[in-house]
Amino acid sequence: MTVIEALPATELCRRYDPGAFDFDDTTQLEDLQEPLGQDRAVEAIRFGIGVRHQGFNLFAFGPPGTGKTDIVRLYLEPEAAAQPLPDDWCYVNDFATPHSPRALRLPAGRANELAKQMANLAEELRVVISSAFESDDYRTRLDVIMEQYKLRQEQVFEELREKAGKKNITLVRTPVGLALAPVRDGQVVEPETFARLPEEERETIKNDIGGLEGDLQSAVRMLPELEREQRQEIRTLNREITSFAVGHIIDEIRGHWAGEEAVISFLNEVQAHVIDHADVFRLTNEQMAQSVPPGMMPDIGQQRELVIGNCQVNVLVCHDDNNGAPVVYEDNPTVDNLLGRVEHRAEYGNLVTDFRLIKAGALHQANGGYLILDARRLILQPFAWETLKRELRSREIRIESLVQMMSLSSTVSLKPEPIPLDVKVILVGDAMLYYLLSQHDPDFRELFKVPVDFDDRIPVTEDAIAQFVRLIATHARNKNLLPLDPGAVARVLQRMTRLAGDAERLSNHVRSLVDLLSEADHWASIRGSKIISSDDVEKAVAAHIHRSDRIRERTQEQFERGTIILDTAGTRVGQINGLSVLQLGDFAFGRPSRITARVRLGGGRVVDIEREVKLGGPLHSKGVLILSNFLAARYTRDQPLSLTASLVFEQSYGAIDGDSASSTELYALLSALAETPIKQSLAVTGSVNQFGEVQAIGGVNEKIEGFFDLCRQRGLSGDQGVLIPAANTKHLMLREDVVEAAERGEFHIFPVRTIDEGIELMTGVSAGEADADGVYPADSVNGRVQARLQAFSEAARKFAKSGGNGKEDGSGEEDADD
Amino acid sequence: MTSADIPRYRRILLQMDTSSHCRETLDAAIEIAAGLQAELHGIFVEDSDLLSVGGLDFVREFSFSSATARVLDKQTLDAQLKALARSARRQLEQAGTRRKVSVGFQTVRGDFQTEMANASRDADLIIAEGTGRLLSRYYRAWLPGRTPARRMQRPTLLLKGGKPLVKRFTLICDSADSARKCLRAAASLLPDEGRDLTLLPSASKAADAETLAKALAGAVAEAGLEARIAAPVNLAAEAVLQHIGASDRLLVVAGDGALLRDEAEAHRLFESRHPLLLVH
Repeated sequence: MTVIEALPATELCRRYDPGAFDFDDTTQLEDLQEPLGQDRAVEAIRFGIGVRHQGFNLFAFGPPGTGKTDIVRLYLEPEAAAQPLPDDWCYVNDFATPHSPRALRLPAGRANELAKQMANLAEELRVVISSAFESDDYRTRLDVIMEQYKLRQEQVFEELREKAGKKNITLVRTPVGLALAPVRDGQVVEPETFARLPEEERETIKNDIGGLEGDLQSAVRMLPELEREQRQEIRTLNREITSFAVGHIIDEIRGHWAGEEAVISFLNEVQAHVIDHADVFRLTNEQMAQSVPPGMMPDIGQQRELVIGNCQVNVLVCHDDNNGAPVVYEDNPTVDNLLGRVEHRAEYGNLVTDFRLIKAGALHQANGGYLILDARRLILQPFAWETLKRELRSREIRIESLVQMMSLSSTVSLKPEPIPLDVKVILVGDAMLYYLLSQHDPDFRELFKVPVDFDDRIPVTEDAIAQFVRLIATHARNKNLLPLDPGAVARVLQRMTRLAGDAERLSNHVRSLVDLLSEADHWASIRGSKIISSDDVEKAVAAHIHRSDRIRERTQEQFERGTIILDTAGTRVGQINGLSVLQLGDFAFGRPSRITARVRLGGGRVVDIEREVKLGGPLHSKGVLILSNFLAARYTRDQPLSLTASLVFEQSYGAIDGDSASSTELYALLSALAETPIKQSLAVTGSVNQFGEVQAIGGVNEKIEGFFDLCRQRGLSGDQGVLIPAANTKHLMLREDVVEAAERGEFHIFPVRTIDEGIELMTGVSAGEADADGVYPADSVNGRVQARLQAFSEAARKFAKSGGNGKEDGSGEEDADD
Repeated sequence: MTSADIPRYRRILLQMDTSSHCRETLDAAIEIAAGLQAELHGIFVEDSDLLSVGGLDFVREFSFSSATARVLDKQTLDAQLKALARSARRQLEQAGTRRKVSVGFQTVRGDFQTEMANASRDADLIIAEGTGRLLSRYYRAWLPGRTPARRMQRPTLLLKGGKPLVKRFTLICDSADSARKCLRAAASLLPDEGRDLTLLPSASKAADAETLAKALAGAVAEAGLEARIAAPVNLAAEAVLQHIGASDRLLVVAGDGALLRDEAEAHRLFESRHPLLLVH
């Protein structure tokens, strides 16, 4: 029988020697400039930033809390700062098609300058145009025009009046027009007087009036035409005056933008627009009322604001900070926040908009630089992912609301001219999302060609320890925490190794590290210390666990009160202590479970009761199937496995998955078949393969500690311990109390490589080795199992021969159950 | 002249008609009445000449809006005038309510000049719109009666285009007497301190200008009002208007003065864009 020795205490946990550190506290250490253990990711970032071809956007993925965004920024920002500033972008009114505002590209940092110039222009226009129209010159010229047309009108009527007067006829103003009437002595002839006139005279008057009516009608018809001509002439005068007044102001602005064709063209249009709408600058509402028919009279103040507004510049992006290419992080990547939006304002109960209400989105801000987005948030925002892909593919930013995209409304809105897009997007997310997108989104690999894979652990080497110590110092300094003494640093390293779940690795999970340091800083501050000691770190770890382990305590309580039945002493056939891990948030703990097995004659099937009731996951089922085949292959190679066995996790009411209990279940099954009792002072974890080799599992530390806690609660007997896969030895980072118990010989950790090693430890009986014929010694566990299976096989054969009545000769029954 | 000597305009007569400026003229008049805490009485004259035209069945009217001819019968004319009078009355009452000014309204039928003269007997001030092209659509019934405006024995304010009253007055004075009249009327029309009074000596002979300026200075001192005396100009409308230049000012002029006695000169002043206050 092979003797498996328990692991020495030194192998149960890696300890870091504070004496090996050559500093008094972390203030003496230099900052760590490079991220630790992220060489692959850093290389990818550098490559991704450098290559400017389309589609070489980055997806940074890795476990949450590994500092992905910070590391990306660490490399991105200096690179961006060294790059030239991208151009500024504005939206201006398109005077020909106002619903399609025009995008205006300007040299970096000059957009605000133009906006200010145009704002000043608006102010100056009010003054300059008003002054121009107040000038004596203008008034005189206007009076001349008015007088000319007045004279022309009056001349027409005066000629008619004179012509009529010669025939004793006068022009009379009626309420709505003019009429011709006979006069005598300056008074209109009264009807009675007219009636007394001789017939001949009356006819003459009527004929005279009739003859003059044609002239009167022509004169009246001429009025609108004369007025139109007068208005046209006044308009021409106004344009001339405005053009002169405005021209030199706009020329001054033009002087600042020599060579900028787009700006010059815009200024030309502004000048024409102002000249066309000069009236709004020079007239009051009252004056406007005189020149425009009442029904057509606009509100002059409103019109003035509209004309001035149309000359303004809406600055979307202005890079006047001289910080190189922009690096933008959009925390809430909705469609609007990415693309920008067209806002509206309420005006007399209606929602109206214009180019001034176009707001920039993150893509505008980041254009010419870099945009960092949280991938998960991006995916979760309706249409944001599809929108981002569309913009990246088309390489232009088109501002469209969700309503427009989905054609939910036909309301007239703005359609701003698209802006060319040149941006590198860095998505930050988890690996699952990256792989899902890679697998299912055909666009993804076209657009995000640079994976940046972050690791959360590094191998423990002397160099890594030295760097990690500096990393601790760097974070302490950056977060304004107290410095750590060497003991505290060693304890932090130990904790980070435990978090890695591997004695040969250090977790570089930044958030966990910073949280640990912050909590230790808190405890050190409370006790008034100027330095963090190992006790502070210890307290931080304990307090952190305490805050999260209510469920673990409740579970322990159930063991203590006998609610959950589990033996930690004695022996039982077909019953074994298995170990599982419960993960609750960021806290995991081990929970022992009783696993039982029963066997009877049957058709070669091992029933996994967990699977039958749909509480067992696929990996668990896989483990059970493996052990079934192990039984058949090892013990009944030449005959059918005439066995029905059942396996169950007792008092387990939740889902179970993973194959880490498969060796445990096999031990229980062998015990049941061999009718050999198993020591209840031991617990087991490990998966098994078809050859009976025990394989590594996860959560080994939590599992051991879970069983240890139960044993300690009941009193450590010195026989208790846990069988673990030998391959998990390197993962051991057990709690101090477990290590101390092992050191005192009160608790044991046994590394096993095979089922045979394990069954010997569990039963104290030799496993037995098969001879050349495959026969195991009769008194060994394997021999007993083999004999039992042969007996089942024989019984099955007889049963079949008897036609199913259980008697070879057709009489009697045999209960094959154990 | 002390403030007690300055007559207060308590009752203002507003001539209302059918012109397109009527509303603006009314607004300006109501503001003046409100400022003076005076009553405002509107008068709408149905001119007998016009009524005679309505009785001539062969007379046809050519409307400004369409230039089409239609027979102007008396019934239609009556209806038009009544409708216009009702509209004018409604506007006046609304404006009075709005500015808390006591208002009255009357419609009279008869000779325009006679009726205006009759109605003005109880008025301290007459306001009328003085703008207009003689025979265009802006023609005003008052204009043929400018002569009576000059002869009215009450201060008569001819507004232009319904513009509100400006506070800058130019008093055209050809004598110390006219200066006194103008100063008194200006102070009555705008009793507050914000007014800007400029006396413009207007003499037909250059030799008289200096004497006139001195006389005006005496009149100003006598009135106890703050007023400037400008450089003398020739007694001609063109010279006066040239002196005023582009600024908008109210011209205060004696109705029986030499300037208005000359028809051509009077016409030039009436046709200018400046409002006129004719005083007696």
